[in-house]
Parts: sequence; structure tokens; C-alpha cells
Amino acid sequence: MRTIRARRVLVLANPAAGPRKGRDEGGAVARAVSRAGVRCELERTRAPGDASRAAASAPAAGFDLVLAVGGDGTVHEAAQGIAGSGVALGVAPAGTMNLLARVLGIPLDAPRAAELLVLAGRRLAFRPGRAGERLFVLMAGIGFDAWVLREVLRRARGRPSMRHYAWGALRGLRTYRFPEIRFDAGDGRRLRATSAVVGRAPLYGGWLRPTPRASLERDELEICVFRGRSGPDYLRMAPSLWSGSHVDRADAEARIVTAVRGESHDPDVPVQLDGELAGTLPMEFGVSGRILVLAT
Amino acid sequence: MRLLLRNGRVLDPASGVDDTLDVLIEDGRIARLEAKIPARGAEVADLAGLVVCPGFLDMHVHLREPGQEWKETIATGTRAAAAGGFTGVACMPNTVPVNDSRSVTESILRTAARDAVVAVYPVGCVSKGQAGEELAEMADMFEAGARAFSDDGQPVASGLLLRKALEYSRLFDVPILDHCEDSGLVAGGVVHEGDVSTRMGLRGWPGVAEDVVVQRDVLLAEYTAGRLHVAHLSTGRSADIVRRAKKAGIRVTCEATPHHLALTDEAVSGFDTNAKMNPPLRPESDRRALLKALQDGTVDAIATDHAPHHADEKNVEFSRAPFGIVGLETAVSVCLDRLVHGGTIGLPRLVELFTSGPARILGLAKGTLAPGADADVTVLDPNRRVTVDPARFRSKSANTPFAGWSLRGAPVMTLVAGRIVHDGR
Ligand SMILES: [Zn+2]
Ligand SMILES: [Zn+2]
Repeated sequence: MRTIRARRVLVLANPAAGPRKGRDEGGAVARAVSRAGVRCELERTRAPGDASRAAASAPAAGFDLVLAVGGDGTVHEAAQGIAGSGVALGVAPAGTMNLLARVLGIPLDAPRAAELLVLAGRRLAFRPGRAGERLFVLMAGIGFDAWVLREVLRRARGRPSMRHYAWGALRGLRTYRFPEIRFDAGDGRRLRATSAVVGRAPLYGGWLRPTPRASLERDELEICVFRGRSGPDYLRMAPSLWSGSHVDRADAEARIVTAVRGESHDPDVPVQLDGELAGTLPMEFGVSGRILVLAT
Repeated sequence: MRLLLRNGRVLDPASGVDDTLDVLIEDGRIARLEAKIPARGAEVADLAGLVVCPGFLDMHVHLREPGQEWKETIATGTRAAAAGGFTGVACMPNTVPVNDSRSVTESILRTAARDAVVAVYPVGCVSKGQAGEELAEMADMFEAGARAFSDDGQPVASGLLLRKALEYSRLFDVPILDHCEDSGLVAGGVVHEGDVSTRMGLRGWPGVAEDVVVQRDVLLAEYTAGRLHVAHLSTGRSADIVRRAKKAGIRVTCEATPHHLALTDEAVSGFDTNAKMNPPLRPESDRRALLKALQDGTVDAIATDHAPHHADEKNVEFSRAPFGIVGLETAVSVCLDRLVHGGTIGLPRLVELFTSGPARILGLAKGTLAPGADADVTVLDPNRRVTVDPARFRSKSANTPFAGWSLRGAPVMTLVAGRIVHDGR
């Protein structure tokens, strides 16, 4: 595939992202882009919604590439603003997990990734996942993982670390309510679950692979439902999520779908999208018509 | 027993007084109100630089006794009220057991006579057992001393029941205080439905779930000619409905809380369960509409909805934490700082919202310093700087979103029937 040299780049940095607090990754990326001889502007986000707003204004301001410096959450936010505009979105990974960078095979060093994407990037146009009004790039988590995320964010002062998540997952195994969730894919077959992951990409946090068949290159989603009814049930299933053998278990099931609606009588089933909390069920999940152009 | 309050700015909107005057109190009543009153053996309190107001009333308080004494008692709740500048509180009936009969009303008043340091006005249940089905014995409770009726904590869900209550209440000319919430629409929501609820992964409680019930209640008040009072108004649309109803001559009043006037739903962004209440904090547009409703007279009273919960009950997952915050010891400072110094309303209007406003709704001969009135007095220092420190609350609970706030203006002295129940000068 042909590579493209960017003309004008908006560097969108989330200083709160990632494990290396206090390091000015945004500044380092902006310097790398300038050194490569490409015009760029640096914008640092301060509050939720900033990245989405800044990305949305990029097309009108004449940028042809937005570089999100941060983690999957930063990409998630920027994607909301930029999808459908034709302007490309690239990730200079500076987050904790950096799943999108891993999926796309981008170097896990922000300035080096930036230089590569700006000078010789390729373009992958794909249709992101849609959850209600929002888009997601990697995955939607329904139930347990969003429950854990919410509790970790409530307890952690500042940016949570991997240890917070591990602690949160253990605590979640005791506090989660294992609600009855129903998924309807519109094809007559219903799925029952106590938690689920709707994947747009094959990777998930923590080196788990609940939806290995999902691919950015195909306009479909893979839904993986979990039916365990207790913390011990979930614990017994966890190892199979590393190997991908969970689909052989009776208490898990994975299917390829184009759209699926989730609902529950329990009013408190939270949803996370790309690691960001995003409301509660009921919610429809599908593939968006707004094309997102990724720089890879 | 004579007490002379000297040199204060006496501010009594009910009788149109706003002047530097001395106030002489004799036998628990206001005896005289004049420019210079000789002491003649009376005890003297020099209040130069301070504002002397009729005693503040909080018409929406959960005292939790009987039944939930680990959260609050009549003794601690009324001490919190006194420290917060209140001389009287109306206590909601959702105790354990609920206040749905003469015997519970009487026992609350007996405990109050023994333990309370400010006046306690019981609110009786609208329905038996607060179950929303059968009308409670309102006449019995009224005779025993109940001054309003409500199923607060929950709405009067049945239109038929509300109709009966409004009709029945006309006999004693008492208001029905409704907690306006369509539970079906709320559907388990815990924060305002909007950007913040999405960002937090929490079920939203949409403003329209309040508006539809306010509108229904207003229609029933018009139909029955009963007296409706909307508790803790939280949305701009509800304020519009009340404003229009008042213009049309329908007998409706409403209250707003300091937290809905001072905070928005952004306060829950950090998952602070001390900012979780029902109705939830709303976005800035609703807050602004409430401020306008304060200015134009749509809102009749400011009430705290003081809802104490133990720290252990609040320190759980956000969606599981109980609704409610304490308010008695922060309300006056929050309102002086945000509303008066913030330029929304003048001090006389604020005093009205805390005195004659609620007194009129509850039908109490209170809220004025006119000679002959009970000597319930609240003294304010409009410029004192205070920092909210929950560790120093008299309340048993400390669930406040205002911890650490630095505020300008505070209540400094409280008198009930001529007796000083709090002196922080
Ligand atoms: Zn209420
Ligand atoms: Zn209440």
C-alpha cells in the first residue's frame, strides 16, 4: 500500500494518560513531527470532552492528520470527534495498555511512532463500532469489566495503575451482582449472559482475547457472553480467556454479529467503551456508518 | 427573663423592617423593637455589625428518629439545626416506623419536648405505612400536631391517592408536600441523565421524570382546590410549570435546596457519593433556571432536605450508596456566599425564603419579629469567613459535598423562645 506524508498535523496530547506521570510525551511528539519537517500544532487536553472537541475542529482548521498522544481512552475520545470527516487519526502510544497500537503494529514509543506515521503512514478506513450514540474502536464491555472500572475510578486518587485494576477485579468478584442480561441480535436467537464483551478488534486488556475473530478489516462485531453466576464461576473461566479456549466452555459463547441489543431488568449494568465508562444498559451495539480513517 | 439585643441590623421582611434597632425580649416573646431601648436590668447582647432576623425555618429535614438513630436523632438533628441558624424544622415521616398515625406523631413530639433544642414540626404520611395505597389518618395526626403531609422519600404515585389527600387536606388547610418523581421513568437512575451519567457508566435520572409529576400534581391541585407544595424542585421545566400555575391562581408552592442552587451534576464526576441525592444534581442550565425562579418569586422557600447517612453506608459503590446529604449546618453559609454575595438575590429576599416563606406554607405563626411574636431569632454575620469542616458538625452524620469549602457569611447566634440555643459569636 502507498504511504502518505502528512502536510499539517494536530498533536492532541492527554497529559493525564499513561504510567509515566510528569513526562511531556506531547511535547516530545510535537518536536519529533517538527524535526521531520511537517507543520504541527500541539494541544493538551484538560477535561473530559476536550479531545473530542479539538478533534472535531481539526478538519475545518485544515489538518490532515490528528495524532492522539495517550492511551486507548485518548483515541476513543478523538475518534468521536473525527469519524466521518475524512481526516486521519493516528496514535502515538503513551497510555497504559495501548491496545490499538498493538493491534495496528505501531511502535510503542510515542515520538518514534509519530515520526513513522507522519512521514510514511498508511491509511486504513474502517467502520468503528457503535454503542448507542457513541463510537468505539476496540471493544465494548458490558457488566463485570465496566463494574470494576467504575469502582477503580471511584477509589483511585488520580490515574489508576495496573495494581488498582487487579485489586478492583478481585473486589468486583465479590461485589458484582451477576445480573441477568439478554442480548438480541435481531436474528431470532437470543443470548443470555451475566457479562459480555463486544469486540471490534481481536485484543482486549490484560492480554485476554475474548473476541479473537473480530477484525478492523471486516464490518462486523464479535460478541462474547459469559454466563457465570458467581465470583468463583468467573475465576474458573478466566484462564481460558488467555488461550481462547473459552468458546468451548458451557458458560461462555461467542458469535459474529452485525448488531445486537443488550438489556436487563437490573438498572445498574454499566458499559465501558475502549476503557471509558459510557452509561448503562439498555444499549444497541453495531457498526457505525461514520468511516474512521486510521493512520497506521 | 429579659434579653436586649443591641445595635444589630434588624431585618424582618414580613413586617417590612430593615433598620438598626434594639430588640427587647421578655418571657420568650418580642416585647419591643425600637432605636434605643434602655437595658434596665436586662441581659444585653451587643450585635453591632450583625443582622438580626426572624428565626430561620427548615421545612424539609429527615431527623431519622425513631428507628435510624445511628444516622441522626432528634437531639443531634436539632442541635445541628441550632448551630446552622435554624429555630424550627419540619421532620419528614419516613422514619421506622413511619409517622402515619397519631401515636407516632405524639411520640415524636414527646421526644422533641425532652431532647430538642429547636421547634420540631412533624410531617405526617399521606398513605398508611407510606405504602401509597390507603390514605393515612390525617385528621388524627393533624390534631396531634402534624403540620403537613407527605410520603417523602417517594412520590405519591397514585393520582387517586393524591386527589384524596388534596381534598382531605382542605379541611385543615395544610399542604401536601410531594416528592415529585415518576419512578417508572427514573428506572433505577442514580445521577442526572446526561453527559455525566454516560461518562460515569451510571443509570441516568432524567429531569422529565420530575416534570411529568409536577405537572400532574398541579392539575390535581387545580381540580381539587387543595394545597400542593412541590418539594426540592430541581429542573427548569418544573419551575416553569409552578410559575405558570401560580399565575393561574392554583394553590401551589415550592422549595429549592441549597445544593441544587449551588452545585451541578459535575460534582459527582469523581464518584463522590456525598454528592448523590434524590432528585439528583442537575446541569448548569437547570441550576440557572432555579436561580431565576428564586429571583422572580416562583420559589417560596429554601429547604435543606437534610438526609443524614452513616459514613459506612455512603462508602460503597456509587450506584448502591443511599441518596441524600446533610444540610442543616451548611445551608445558610452556602446561600449567603453563593446567592447573596454571588449577586443572585439580596439579603432581604434570602431571609424571606428562610422565614416567612416556609412559615406561610406550614401555617405557622412564625417568621417575623413583630412585637408579640415568639422570640425565635437568627443572627447572621454576612461577612464571616468559614471553612466547612464535617468533623465539627453537631449532626451524627457528615455526608456533605461542601467539605472544605470556604464560604463568606454565617449564622452566629440562634434563639428559640428567647433562649440562646447556639452562640458562635
Ligand atoms: Zn424527597
Ligand atoms: Zn426528603
